Amino acid sequence: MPESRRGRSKRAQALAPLLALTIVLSGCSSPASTFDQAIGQGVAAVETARIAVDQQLDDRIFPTTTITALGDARRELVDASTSVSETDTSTESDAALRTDLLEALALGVTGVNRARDAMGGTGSLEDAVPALERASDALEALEERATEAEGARR
Amino acid sequence: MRRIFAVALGILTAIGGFVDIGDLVTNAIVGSRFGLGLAWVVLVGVVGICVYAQMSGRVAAVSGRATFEIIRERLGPRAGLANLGASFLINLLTVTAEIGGVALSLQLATSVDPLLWVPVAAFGVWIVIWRARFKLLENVTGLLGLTLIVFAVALFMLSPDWGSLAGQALQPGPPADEQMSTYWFYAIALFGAAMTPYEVFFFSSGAIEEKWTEKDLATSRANVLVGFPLGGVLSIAIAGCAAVVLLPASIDVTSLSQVVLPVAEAGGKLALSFAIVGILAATFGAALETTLSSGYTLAQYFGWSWGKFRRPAKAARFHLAMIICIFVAMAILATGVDPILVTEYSVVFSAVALPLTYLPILIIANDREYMGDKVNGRAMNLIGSVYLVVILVAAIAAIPLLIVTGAGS
Repeated sequence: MPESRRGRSKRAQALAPLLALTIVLSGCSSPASTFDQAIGQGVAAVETARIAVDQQLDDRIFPTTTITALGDARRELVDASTSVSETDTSTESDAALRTDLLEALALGVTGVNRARDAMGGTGSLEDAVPALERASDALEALEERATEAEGARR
Repeated sequence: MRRIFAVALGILTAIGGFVDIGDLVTNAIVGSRFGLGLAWVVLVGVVGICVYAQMSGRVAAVSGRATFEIIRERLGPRAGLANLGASFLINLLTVTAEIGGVALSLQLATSVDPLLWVPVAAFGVWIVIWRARFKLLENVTGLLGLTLIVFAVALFMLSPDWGSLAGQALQPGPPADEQMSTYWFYAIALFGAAMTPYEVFFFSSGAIEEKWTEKDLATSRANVLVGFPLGGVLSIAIAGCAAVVLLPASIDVTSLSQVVLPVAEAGGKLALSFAIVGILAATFGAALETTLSSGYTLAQYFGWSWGKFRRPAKAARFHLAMIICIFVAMAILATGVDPILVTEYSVVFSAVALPLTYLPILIIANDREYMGDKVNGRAMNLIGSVYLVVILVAAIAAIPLLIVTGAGS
Protein backbone atom coordinates (compact mmCIF):
# COMPACT_ATOMS: atom_id res chain seq x y z
CA MET A 1 0.00 0.00 0.00
CA PRO A 2 2.13 2.86 -1.24
CA GLU A 3 -0.43 5.53 -0.26
CA SER A 4 -0.56 4.52 3.37
CA ARG A 5 3.21 4.10 3.49
CA ARG A 6 3.56 7.66 2.16
CA GLY A 7 1.05 8.81 4.73
CA ARG A 8 3.01 7.10 7.51
CA SER A 9 6.20 8.62 6.18
CA LYS A 10 4.62 12.08 6.21
CA ARG A 11 3.39 11.56 9.75
CA ALA A 12 6.84 10.38 10.78
CA GLN A 13 8.40 13.45 9.13
CA ALA A 14 5.97 15.69 10.97
CA LEU A 15 6.69 13.97 14.25
CA ALA A 16 10.49 13.99 13.86
CA PRO A 17 10.98 17.65 14.88
CA LEU A 18 8.63 17.09 17.81
CA LEU A 19 10.64 14.07 18.89
CA ALA A 20 13.89 16.00 18.50
CA LEU A 21 12.42 18.82 20.57
CA THR A 22 11.30 16.39 23.26
CA ILE A 23 14.78 14.85 23.40
CA VAL A 24 16.41 18.27 23.66
CA LEU A 25 13.92 19.46 26.26
CA SER A 26 14.35 16.35 28.37
CA GLY A 27 18.06 17.02 28.47
CA CYS A 28 19.06 13.77 26.79
CA SER A 29 22.35 13.99 24.97
CA SER A 30 24.65 11.22 23.86
CA PRO A 31 28.05 10.69 25.54
CA ALA A 32 29.67 11.56 22.20
CA SER A 33 28.10 15.00 22.06
CA THR A 34 28.92 15.67 25.73
CA PHE A 35 32.55 14.66 25.09
CA ASP A 36 32.75 16.77 21.90
CA GLN A 37 31.48 19.76 23.81
CA ALA A 38 33.87 19.15 26.72
CA ILE A 39 36.84 18.82 24.35
CA GLY A 40 35.89 22.11 22.66
CA GLN A 41 35.47 23.77 26.04
CA GLY A 42 38.80 22.40 27.23
CA VAL A 43 40.68 23.43 24.10
CA ALA A 44 39.23 26.96 24.30
CA ALA A 45 40.16 27.28 27.98
CA VAL A 46 43.72 25.97 27.58
CA GLU A 47 44.37 28.11 24.49
CA THR A 48 43.00 31.17 26.32
CA ALA A 49 45.37 30.47 29.21
CA ARG A 50 48.29 30.02 26.79
CA ILE A 51 47.62 33.35 25.07
CA ALA A 52 47.23 35.14 28.42
CA VAL A 53 50.46 33.61 29.76
CA ASP A 54 52.38 34.45 26.55
CA GLN A 55 51.13 38.03 26.70
CA GLN A 56 52.08 38.26 30.38
CA LEU A 57 55.58 36.98 29.62
CA ASP A 58 55.85 39.65 26.88
CA ASP A 59 54.52 42.28 29.32
CA ARG A 60 51.64 43.09 26.95
CA ILE A 61 48.82 42.58 29.45
CA PHE A 62 47.96 43.75 32.96
CA PRO A 63 48.48 41.11 35.68
CA THR A 64 44.88 41.68 36.81
CA THR A 65 43.60 40.79 33.34
CA THR A 66 45.83 37.70 33.17
CA ILE A 67 44.57 36.52 36.56
CA THR A 68 40.97 37.07 35.41
CA ALA A 69 41.57 35.20 32.13
CA LEU A 70 43.20 32.31 34.00
CA GLY A 71 40.34 32.20 36.52
CA ASP A 72 37.80 32.09 33.69
CA ALA A 73 39.81 29.34 31.94
CA ARG A 74 39.93 27.26 35.11
CA ARG A 75 36.18 27.62 35.62
CA GLU A 76 35.59 26.35 32.06
CA LEU A 77 37.93 23.38 32.58
CA VAL A 78 36.24 22.44 35.85
CA ASP A 79 32.78 22.76 34.22
CA ALA A 80 33.87 20.52 31.35
CA SER A 81 35.39 18.03 33.78
CA THR A 82 32.21 17.91 35.85
CA SER A 83 29.98 17.29 32.85
CA VAL A 84 32.28 14.52 31.57
CA SER A 85 32.56 12.79 34.93
CA GLU A 86 28.76 12.80 35.28
CA THR A 87 28.26 11.12 31.89
CA ASP A 88 27.27 7.46 31.72
CA THR A 89 28.77 5.38 28.95
CA SER A 90 27.56 2.19 27.31
CA THR A 91 30.66 1.09 25.35
CA GLU A 92 34.27 0.31 26.22
CA SER A 93 35.59 2.95 23.82
CA ASP A 94 33.35 5.67 25.32
CA ALA A 95 34.49 4.70 28.82
CA ALA A 96 38.15 4.86 27.74
CA LEU A 97 37.54 8.24 26.08
CA ARG A 98 35.95 9.53 29.27
CA THR A 99 38.99 8.48 31.34
CA ASP A 100 41.46 10.05 28.90
CA LEU A 101 39.39 13.22 28.60
CA LEU A 102 39.25 13.65 32.37
CA GLU A 103 43.04 13.23 32.48
CA ALA A 104 43.56 15.83 29.73
CA LEU A 105 41.24 18.30 31.46
CA ALA A 106 43.06 17.71 34.74
CA LEU A 107 46.34 18.48 32.95
CA GLY A 108 44.79 21.73 31.82
CA VAL A 109 43.70 22.59 35.35
CA THR A 110 47.23 21.84 36.59
CA GLY A 111 48.73 24.16 33.97
CA VAL A 112 46.28 26.96 34.72
CA ASN A 113 46.79 26.55 38.48
CA ARG A 114 50.55 26.71 38.01
CA ALA A 115 50.15 29.96 36.08
CA ARG A 116 47.76 31.40 38.68
CA ASP A 117 50.19 30.44 41.45
CA ALA A 118 53.03 32.14 39.55
CA MET A 119 50.93 35.29 39.22
CA GLY A 120 50.49 35.17 43.00
CA GLY A 121 54.26 34.89 43.51
CA THR A 122 54.60 31.12 43.91
CA GLY A 123 56.83 29.56 41.25
CA SER A 124 57.66 30.81 37.80
CA LEU A 125 55.25 31.64 34.99
CA GLU A 126 57.59 29.94 32.48
CA ASP A 127 56.96 26.63 34.29
CA ALA A 128 53.27 26.87 33.42
CA VAL A 129 54.00 26.93 29.68
CA PRO A 130 55.04 23.26 29.25
CA ALA A 131 52.14 22.11 31.44
CA LEU A 132 49.69 24.03 29.26
CA GLU A 133 51.35 22.68 26.11
CA ARG A 134 50.95 19.11 27.37
CA ALA A 135 47.27 19.73 28.08
CA SER A 136 46.83 21.29 24.64
CA ASP A 137 48.49 18.30 22.93
CA ALA A 138 46.39 15.83 24.91
CA LEU A 139 43.15 17.63 24.06
CA GLU A 140 44.08 17.92 20.38
CA ALA A 141 44.79 14.17 20.26
CA LEU A 142 41.41 13.50 21.84
CA GLU A 143 39.75 15.83 19.36
CA GLU A 144 41.18 13.75 16.50
CA ARG A 145 40.16 10.52 18.22
CA ALA A 146 36.61 11.80 18.71
CA THR A 147 36.43 12.87 15.05
CA GLU A 148 37.62 9.42 13.92
CA ALA A 149 35.10 7.71 16.20
CA GLU A 150 32.35 9.94 14.81
CA GLY A 151 33.44 9.00 11.26
CA ALA A 152 33.37 5.30 12.12
CA ARG A 153 29.85 5.63 13.58
CA ARG A 154 28.63 7.21 10.32
CA MET B 1 29.04 76.95 15.38
CA ARG B 2 27.12 75.93 18.46
CA ARG B 3 24.78 73.85 16.29
CA ILE B 4 27.70 72.11 14.56
CA PHE B 5 29.17 71.32 17.97
CA ALA B 6 25.82 69.93 19.15
CA VAL B 7 25.53 67.70 16.06
CA ALA B 8 29.13 66.48 16.39
CA LEU B 9 28.66 65.74 20.08
CA GLY B 10 25.42 63.90 19.36
CA ILE B 11 27.10 61.77 16.68
CA LEU B 12 30.08 60.95 18.88
CA THR B 13 27.77 60.04 21.75
CA ALA B 14 25.71 57.84 19.44
CA ILE B 15 28.86 56.00 18.28
CA GLY B 16 30.15 55.47 21.81
CA GLY B 17 26.69 54.66 23.12
CA PHE B 18 25.85 52.15 20.39
CA VAL B 19 27.94 49.32 21.83
CA ASP B 20 26.80 47.67 25.05
CA ILE B 21 27.50 44.33 26.75
CA GLY B 22 25.18 42.56 24.29
CA ASP B 23 27.10 43.89 21.27
CA LEU B 24 30.48 43.22 22.87
CA VAL B 25 29.77 39.64 23.85
CA THR B 26 27.67 38.61 20.85
CA ASN B 27 30.07 40.06 18.28
CA ALA B 28 33.04 38.44 19.99
CA ILE B 29 31.28 35.06 20.19
CA VAL B 30 30.24 35.28 16.55
CA GLY B 31 33.73 36.37 15.44
CA SER B 32 35.36 33.52 17.35
CA ARG B 33 33.01 30.92 15.81
CA PHE B 34 32.00 32.20 12.38
CA GLY B 35 34.69 34.78 11.56
CA LEU B 36 33.01 37.62 9.69
CA GLY B 37 30.41 35.23 8.27
CA LEU B 38 27.66 37.10 10.15
CA ALA B 39 28.86 40.66 9.48
CA TRP B 40 25.88 41.12 7.16
CA VAL B 41 23.57 40.79 10.18
CA VAL B 42 25.25 43.80 11.81
CA LEU B 43 24.50 45.79 8.65
CA VAL B 44 20.87 44.63 8.67
CA GLY B 45 20.61 45.43 12.40
CA VAL B 46 22.16 48.87 12.04
CA VAL B 47 19.81 49.87 9.22
CA GLY B 48 16.94 48.51 11.32
CA ILE B 49 17.85 50.48 14.43
CA CYS B 50 18.29 53.62 12.30
CA VAL B 51 14.76 53.18 10.88
CA TYR B 52 13.29 52.40 14.31
CA ALA B 53 15.09 55.19 16.21
CA GLN B 54 14.44 57.74 13.49
CA MET B 55 10.69 57.00 13.55
CA SER B 56 10.39 56.96 17.33
CA GLY B 57 12.47 60.16 17.68
CA ARG B 58 10.23 61.88 15.12
CA VAL B 59 7.08 60.64 16.84
CA ALA B 60 8.34 61.94 20.19
CA ALA B 61 9.47 65.31 18.79
CA VAL B 62 6.28 65.96 16.79
CA SER B 63 3.64 64.52 19.12
CA GLY B 64 5.43 65.41 22.35
CA ARG B 65 4.69 61.89 23.67
CA ALA B 66 7.10 59.03 24.37
CA THR B 67 6.74 55.40 23.22
CA PHE B 68 4.70 53.87 26.04
CA GLU B 69 2.30 56.81 26.44
CA ILE B 70 1.37 56.29 22.81
CA ILE B 71 1.29 52.49 23.01
CA ARG B 72 -1.26 52.67 25.82
CA GLU B 73 -3.27 55.30 24.00
CA ARG B 74 -3.36 53.37 20.70
CA LEU B 75 -3.56 49.76 21.90
CA GLY B 76 -5.75 50.33 24.94
CA PRO B 77 -4.88 49.46 28.55
CA ARG B 78 -5.08 45.65 28.26
CA ALA B 79 -3.03 45.08 25.12
CA GLY B 80 -0.76 47.89 26.27
CA LEU B 81 -0.23 46.13 29.61
CA ALA B 82 0.73 42.86 27.91
CA ASN B 83 3.12 44.82 25.74
CA LEU B 84 4.53 46.61 28.78
CA GLY B 85 4.95 43.32 30.69
CA ALA B 86 7.02 41.68 27.96
CA SER B 87 9.08 44.79 27.16
CA PHE B 88 9.69 45.58 30.82
CA LEU B 89 10.85 42.05 31.71
CA ILE B 90 13.29 41.95 28.81
CA ASN B 91 14.52 45.39 29.74
CA LEU B 92 15.05 44.17 33.31
CA LEU B 93 17.08 41.25 31.96
CA THR B 94 19.17 43.77 30.02
CA VAL B 95 19.67 45.92 33.16
CA THR B 96 20.97 42.77 34.88
CA ALA B 97 23.32 42.00 31.99
CA GLU B 98 24.67 45.56 31.89
CA ILE B 99 25.29 45.79 35.65
CA GLY B 100 26.97 42.38 35.41
CA GLY B 101 29.03 43.76 32.52
CA VAL B 102 30.19 46.69 34.65
CA ALA B 103 31.27 44.22 37.36
CA LEU B 104 33.11 42.06 34.80
CA SER B 105 34.96 45.04 33.32
CA LEU B 106 36.00 46.16 36.81
CA GLN B 107 37.26 42.61 37.37
CA LEU B 108 39.51 42.96 34.30
CA ALA B 109 41.11 46.02 35.89
CA THR B 110 41.38 44.66 39.42
CA SER B 111 41.00 40.83 39.32
CA VAL B 112 38.55 41.18 42.22
CA ASP B 113 35.59 38.76 42.02
CA PRO B 114 32.76 40.37 40.01
CA LEU B 115 30.23 39.43 42.70
CA LEU B 116 31.96 41.93 44.98
CA TRP B 117 31.72 44.61 42.29
CA VAL B 118 27.99 44.14 41.68
CA PRO B 119 26.81 46.28 44.66
CA VAL B 120 29.38 48.95 43.76
CA ALA B 121 28.20 49.00 40.14
CA ALA B 122 24.55 49.10 41.22
CA PHE B 123 25.21 51.96 43.64
CA GLY B 124 27.11 53.84 40.92
CA VAL B 125 24.17 53.47 38.52
CA TRP B 126 21.67 54.68 41.13
CA ILE B 127 23.70 57.68 42.31
CA VAL B 128 24.38 58.89 38.77
CA ILE B 129 20.70 58.57 37.84
CA TRP B 130 19.72 60.34 41.05
CA ARG B 131 22.22 63.19 40.86
CA ALA B 132 23.55 63.74 37.33
CA ARG B 133 21.79 65.76 34.66
CA PHE B 134 20.46 63.85 31.65
CA LYS B 135 22.77 65.48 29.13
CA LEU B 136 25.81 64.92 31.33
CA LEU B 137 25.24 61.21 31.91
CA GLU B 138 24.50 60.65 28.21
CA ASN B 139 27.51 62.57 26.92
CA VAL B 140 30.17 61.42 29.41
CA THR B 141 29.51 57.70 29.00
CA GLY B 142 29.03 58.06 25.23
CA LEU B 143 32.30 59.93 24.77
CA LEU B 144 34.27 57.57 27.02
CA GLY B 145 32.71 54.66 25.10
CA LEU B 146 34.46 56.03 22.02
CA THR B 147 37.68 54.52 23.36
CA LEU B 148 36.28 51.23 22.00
CA ILE B 149 37.63 52.47 18.67
CA VAL B 150 40.73 50.68 19.94
CA PHE B 151 39.15 47.45 18.60
CA ALA B 152 39.23 48.92 15.07
CA VAL B 153 42.82 50.10 15.58
CA ALA B 154 43.78 46.68 16.97
CA LEU B 155 42.31 44.96 13.93
CA PHE B 156 44.63 46.98 11.66
CA MET B 157 47.60 46.40 13.97
CA LEU B 158 47.03 42.63 13.84
CA SER B 159 47.74 42.81 10.08
CA PRO B 160 45.10 40.24 9.17
CA ASP B 161 44.67 38.60 5.80
CA TRP B 162 42.14 41.16 4.54
CA GLY B 163 41.25 38.99 1.58
CA SER B 164 40.28 36.13 3.86
CA LEU B 165 38.21 38.43 6.11
CA ALA B 166 36.47 39.92 3.08
CA GLY B 167 35.84 36.39 1.79
CA GLN B 168 34.18 35.45 5.09
CA ALA B 169 32.02 38.57 5.00
CA LEU B 170 31.03 38.27 1.34
CA GLN B 171 30.33 34.53 1.37
CA PRO B 172 28.18 34.18 4.46
CA GLY B 173 27.47 30.76 5.89
CA PRO B 174 28.58 28.53 8.74
CA PRO B 175 32.03 26.91 8.78
CA ALA B 176 32.19 23.13 8.25
CA ASP B 177 32.16 22.34 11.97
CA GLU B 178 29.08 24.47 12.77
CA GLN B 179 25.41 23.62 12.24
CA MET B 180 23.16 25.80 10.08
CA SER B 181 20.70 26.12 12.99
CA THR B 182 23.48 27.49 15.23
CA TYR B 183 24.42 29.97 12.49
CA TRP B 184 20.85 31.30 12.34
CA PHE B 185 20.54 31.32 16.12
CA TYR B 186 23.53 33.66 16.33
CA ALA B 187 22.22 35.69 13.40
CA ILE B 188 19.10 36.41 15.48
CA ALA B 189 21.17 37.08 18.61
CA LEU B 190 23.29 39.57 16.69
CA PHE B 191 20.17 41.20 15.25
CA GLY B 192 18.69 41.43 18.77
CA ALA B 193 21.94 42.93 20.07
CA ALA B 194 21.91 45.63 17.37
CA MET B 195 18.18 46.38 17.72
CA THR B 196 17.74 46.25 21.50
CA PRO B 197 14.34 47.83 22.34
CA TYR B 198 15.72 49.83 25.29
CA GLU B 199 17.76 51.95 22.88
CA VAL B 200 14.52 53.20 21.39
CA PHE B 201 12.70 53.70 24.72
CA PHE B 202 15.71 55.74 25.82
CA PHE B 203 15.96 57.62 22.54
CA SER B 204 12.29 58.64 22.42
CA SER B 205 12.11 59.45 26.14
CA GLY B 206 15.36 61.39 25.78
CA ALA B 207 13.67 63.47 23.09
CA ILE B 208 11.06 64.50 25.66
CA GLU B 209 13.73 65.02 28.36
CA GLU B 210 15.62 67.35 26.03
CA LYS B 211 12.40 69.03 24.86
CA TRP B 212 12.90 68.28 21.19
CA THR B 213 10.66 70.02 18.70
CA GLU B 214 10.31 69.65 14.93
CA LYS B 215 13.34 71.96 14.62
CA ASP B 216 15.51 69.28 16.24
CA LEU B 217 14.58 66.58 13.74
CA ALA B 218 17.57 67.28 11.48
CA THR B 219 20.01 66.97 14.39
CA SER B 220 18.33 63.77 15.55
CA ARG B 221 18.50 62.35 12.01
CA ALA B 222 22.22 63.14 11.79
CA ASN B 223 22.89 61.50 15.17
CA VAL B 224 21.08 58.34 14.11
CA LEU B 225 22.17 58.09 10.49
CA VAL B 226 25.86 58.82 11.13
CA GLY B 227 26.37 57.72 14.75
CA PHE B 228 24.69 54.31 14.65
CA PRO B 229 26.39 53.07 11.43
CA LEU B 230 29.77 54.07 12.86
CA GLY B 231 28.81 52.20 16.04
CA GLY B 232 28.10 49.24 13.76
CA VAL B 233 31.64 49.51 12.38
CA LEU B 234 32.90 49.14 15.97
CA SER B 235 30.77 46.00 16.35
CA ILE B 236 32.30 44.49 13.20
CA ALA B 237 35.78 45.42 14.46
CA ILE B 238 35.11 43.48 17.69
CA ALA B 239 34.06 40.45 15.63
CA GLY B 240 37.08 40.96 13.35
CA CYS B 241 39.53 40.95 16.26
CA ALA B 242 38.01 37.71 17.55
CA ALA B 243 38.12 36.22 14.05
CA VAL B 244 41.83 36.98 13.66
CA VAL B 245 43.14 35.91 17.08
CA LEU B 246 40.59 33.62 18.74
CA LEU B 247 39.10 31.65 15.83
CA PRO B 248 42.44 30.14 14.66
CA ALA B 249 43.13 29.05 18.26
CA SER B 250 39.68 27.34 18.49
CA ILE B 251 38.66 29.66 21.31
CA ASP B 252 34.87 30.02 21.58
CA VAL B 253 34.28 33.16 23.62
CA THR B 254 32.61 32.53 26.97
CA SER B 255 34.05 35.39 29.04
CA LEU B 256 34.86 39.08 28.79
CA SER B 257 38.54 38.40 29.51
CA GLN B 258 38.75 36.58 26.15
CA VAL B 259 37.22 39.56 24.31
CA VAL B 260 40.16 41.82 25.23
CA LEU B 261 42.97 39.35 24.46
CA PRO B 262 43.19 40.34 20.75
CA VAL B 263 43.52 44.00 21.75
CA ALA B 264 46.40 43.21 24.13
CA GLU B 265 47.96 41.06 21.41
CA ALA B 266 47.87 43.97 18.99
CA GLY B 267 48.66 46.99 21.11
CA GLY B 268 49.88 45.80 24.51
CA LYS B 269 48.96 47.49 27.77
CA LEU B 270 48.13 50.89 26.28
CA ALA B 271 45.55 49.44 23.91
CA LEU B 272 44.25 47.16 26.65
CA SER B 273 43.71 50.10 29.00
CA PHE B 274 41.66 51.87 26.29
CA ALA B 275 39.63 48.70 25.79
CA ILE B 276 38.89 48.31 29.51
CA VAL B 277 37.88 51.99 29.86
CA GLY B 278 35.70 51.63 26.77
CA ILE B 279 34.00 48.47 28.00
CA LEU B 280 33.43 50.02 31.42
CA ALA B 281 31.97 53.18 29.88
CA ALA B 282 29.84 51.24 27.40
CA THR B 283 28.38 48.89 30.01
CA PHE B 284 27.93 51.63 32.61
CA GLY B 285 26.29 53.93 30.07
CA ALA B 286 24.00 51.12 28.95
CA ALA B 287 23.21 50.27 32.60
CA LEU B 288 22.08 53.89 33.07
CA GLU B 289 20.04 53.82 29.86
CA THR B 290 18.34 50.49 30.60
CA THR B 291 17.56 51.47 34.20
CA LEU B 292 16.11 54.77 33.00
CA SER B 293 14.19 52.88 30.31
CA SER B 294 12.63 50.67 33.00
CA GLY B 295 11.43 53.78 34.82
CA TYR B 296 10.30 55.42 31.58
CA THR B 297 8.22 52.48 30.37
CA LEU B 298 6.41 52.01 33.70
CA ALA B 299 5.85 55.72 34.33
CA GLN B 300 4.68 56.41 30.79
CA TYR B 301 2.23 53.52 30.81
CA PHE B 302 0.78 54.24 34.27
CA GLY B 303 0.76 58.00 33.75
CA TRP B 304 3.18 58.80 36.58
CA SER B 305 5.21 61.96 36.62
CA TRP B 306 8.57 61.09 35.05
CA GLY B 307 11.79 62.51 33.71
CA LYS B 308 15.27 63.51 34.75
CA PHE B 309 14.26 67.13 34.13
CA ARG B 310 12.09 66.86 37.25
CA ARG B 311 13.53 66.71 40.76
CA PRO B 312 13.30 63.16 42.24
CA ALA B 313 10.70 64.35 44.78
CA LYS B 314 8.48 65.43 41.88
CA ALA B 315 8.84 62.05 40.13
CA ALA B 316 8.96 59.77 43.17
CA ARG B 317 7.34 56.65 41.64
CA PHE B 318 9.57 56.92 38.57
CA HIS B 319 12.67 56.93 40.77
CA LEU B 320 11.34 54.25 43.12
CA ALA B 321 10.65 51.94 40.15
CA MET B 322 14.25 52.34 39.00
CA ILE B 323 15.62 51.64 42.49
CA ILE B 324 13.54 48.44 42.65
CA CYS B 325 14.84 47.41 39.20
CA ILE B 326 18.43 47.91 40.36
CA PHE B 327 17.76 45.77 43.45
CA VAL B 328 16.15 43.01 41.38
CA ALA B 329 19.15 43.02 39.00
CA MET B 330 21.50 42.81 41.99
CA ALA B 331 19.50 39.92 43.44
CA ILE B 332 19.66 38.01 40.15
CA LEU B 333 23.44 38.52 39.91
CA ALA B 334 23.89 37.59 43.58
CA THR B 335 22.72 34.06 42.72
CA GLY B 336 26.08 33.66 40.96
CA VAL B 337 24.55 33.43 37.48
CA ASP B 338 27.10 34.18 34.77
CA PRO B 339 26.47 37.73 33.43
CA ILE B 340 27.63 36.57 29.99
CA LEU B 341 24.88 33.94 29.97
CA VAL B 342 22.34 36.59 31.03
CA THR B 343 23.60 38.74 28.17
CA GLU B 344 23.20 35.94 25.64
CA TYR B 345 19.61 35.35 26.71
CA SER B 346 18.82 39.07 26.89
CA VAL B 347 19.81 39.69 23.24
CA VAL B 348 17.76 36.71 22.03
CA PHE B 349 14.68 37.76 24.01
CA SER B 350 15.16 41.32 22.79
CA ALA B 351 14.61 39.98 19.28
CA VAL B 352 11.50 38.14 20.52
CA ALA B 353 9.98 41.29 22.05
CA LEU B 354 10.94 43.68 19.26
CA PRO B 355 7.65 43.54 17.27
CA LEU B 356 5.70 44.58 20.37
CA THR B 357 7.11 48.09 20.28
CA TYR B 358 8.15 48.35 16.64
CA LEU B 359 4.67 47.82 15.20
CA PRO B 360 2.90 50.54 17.27
CA ILE B 361 5.65 53.03 16.38
CA LEU B 362 5.30 52.17 12.68
CA ILE B 363 1.53 52.66 12.90
CA ILE B 364 1.75 55.97 14.75
CA ALA B 365 4.45 57.27 12.42
CA ASN B 366 1.73 57.03 9.74
CA ASP B 367 -1.05 58.59 11.82
CA ARG B 368 -1.82 62.19 10.76
CA GLU B 369 -3.71 62.78 14.02
CA TYR B 370 -0.41 62.52 15.90
CA MET B 371 2.08 63.45 13.22
CA GLY B 372 0.36 66.04 11.01
CA ASP B 373 2.40 66.37 7.81
CA LYS B 374 5.43 64.63 9.41
CA VAL B 375 4.09 61.14 8.70
CA ASN B 376 6.33 58.52 7.05
CA GLY B 377 7.07 59.05 3.37
CA ARG B 378 6.69 56.23 0.85
CA ALA B 379 10.35 55.17 1.01
CA MET B 380 10.29 55.12 4.81
CA ASN B 381 7.11 53.06 4.81
CA LEU B 382 8.58 50.59 2.35
CA ILE B 383 11.72 50.05 4.39
CA GLY B 384 9.69 50.11 7.63
CA SER B 385 7.42 47.35 6.28
CA VAL B 386 10.34 45.24 5.07
CA TYR B 387 11.82 45.50 8.55
CA LEU B 388 8.50 44.58 10.13
CA VAL B 389 8.67 41.28 8.24
CA VAL B 390 12.33 40.74 9.19
CA ILE B 391 11.56 41.51 12.85
CA LEU B 392 8.56 39.17 12.88
CA VAL B 393 10.52 36.31 11.32
CA ALA B 394 13.36 36.81 13.84
CA ALA B 395 10.91 36.96 16.75
CA ILE B 396 9.10 33.80 15.69
CA ALA B 397 12.29 31.81 14.98
CA ALA B 398 14.22 32.89 18.08
CA ILE B 399 12.79 30.55 20.73
CA PRO B 400 12.64 27.38 18.57
CA LEU B 401 16.27 27.99 17.55
CA LEU B 402 17.20 28.64 21.19
CA ILE B 403 15.79 25.22 22.11
CA VAL B 404 17.08 23.27 19.12
CA THR B 405 20.64 24.61 19.39
CA GLY B 406 20.79 24.49 23.20
CA ALA B 407 21.32 28.28 23.25
CA GLY B 408 23.94 28.10 20.54
CA SER B 409 26.10 25.44 22.17
